[in-house]
Amino acid sequence: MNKQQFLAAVKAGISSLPQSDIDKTLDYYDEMIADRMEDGMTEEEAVSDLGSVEEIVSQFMGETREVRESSMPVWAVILLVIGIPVWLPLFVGIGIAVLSVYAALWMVLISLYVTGAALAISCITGILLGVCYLVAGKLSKMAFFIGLGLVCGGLGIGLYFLCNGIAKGLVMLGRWSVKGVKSIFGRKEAKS
Amino acid sequence: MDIQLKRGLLDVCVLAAIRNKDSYGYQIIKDMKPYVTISESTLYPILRRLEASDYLTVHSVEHNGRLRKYYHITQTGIERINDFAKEWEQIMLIYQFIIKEGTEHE
Repeated sequence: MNKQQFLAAVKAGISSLPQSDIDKTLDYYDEMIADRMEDGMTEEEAVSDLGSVEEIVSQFMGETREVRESSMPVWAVILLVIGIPVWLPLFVGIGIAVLSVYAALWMVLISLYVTGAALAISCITGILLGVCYLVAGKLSKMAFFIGLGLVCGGLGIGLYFLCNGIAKGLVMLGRWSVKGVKSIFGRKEAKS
Repeated sequence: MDIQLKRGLLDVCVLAAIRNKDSYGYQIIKDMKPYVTISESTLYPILRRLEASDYLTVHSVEHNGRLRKYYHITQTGIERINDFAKEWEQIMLIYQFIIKEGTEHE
């Protein structure tokens, strides 16, 4: 059998699988044959070295079936499907609640930023007022407002850095939660 | 050999074959040959399983006008090998006991 015949036979045997699986498999065996030929085998020898098409197809289908079956027994699937009216609204509800909390946290963060901005404006205003009083010769009032302005400025700067830290934390929390959710579903497929 | 046992062993074998250098399918089979013979059809699902579990990554390299798939071990894969080695130190001790006491002698 030559390479083309071999690959066509394998393709026919695994045709029930998704196209991407079929393509990957054919690429894999194509590569194996090419590597063997580089080692000095002829095309015929390389193909026969791989074993019979029946063996390959049955082993491949068996493995794929194993992966699908072992990840969840049939009764569990049936139960899961029947239970959709129960767990689906629950999941959706919980999901919405969690997202709302997350969004609320971001809202709090935004209001903190706004506070920071307000403090910054107060700082500038205070200093300007102070300068006005300086010009007017009212030194004690000048000192008061400049002092007040500087305090607001300091608070504003501190708040700004605090907000940046909180923002980073929220982003990380979001990413980590997404990973956590993904891994719950991902691991079910990978276990075989 | 027990099928499940062999499968677990072969998974780690393949990881070991790519531990210190990226390698490709046929080379992995050749590297393992002095110790254990596996066929392409056995190797293929192993590679897919290892990739799904993030023990290795795949990338294509051009070779003689065609694309060859190379497999690269991840940190998780390295840890898997180390865990396996630790498990088997224990198994080796038990094996020694079985051989020493479990075989017929005075």
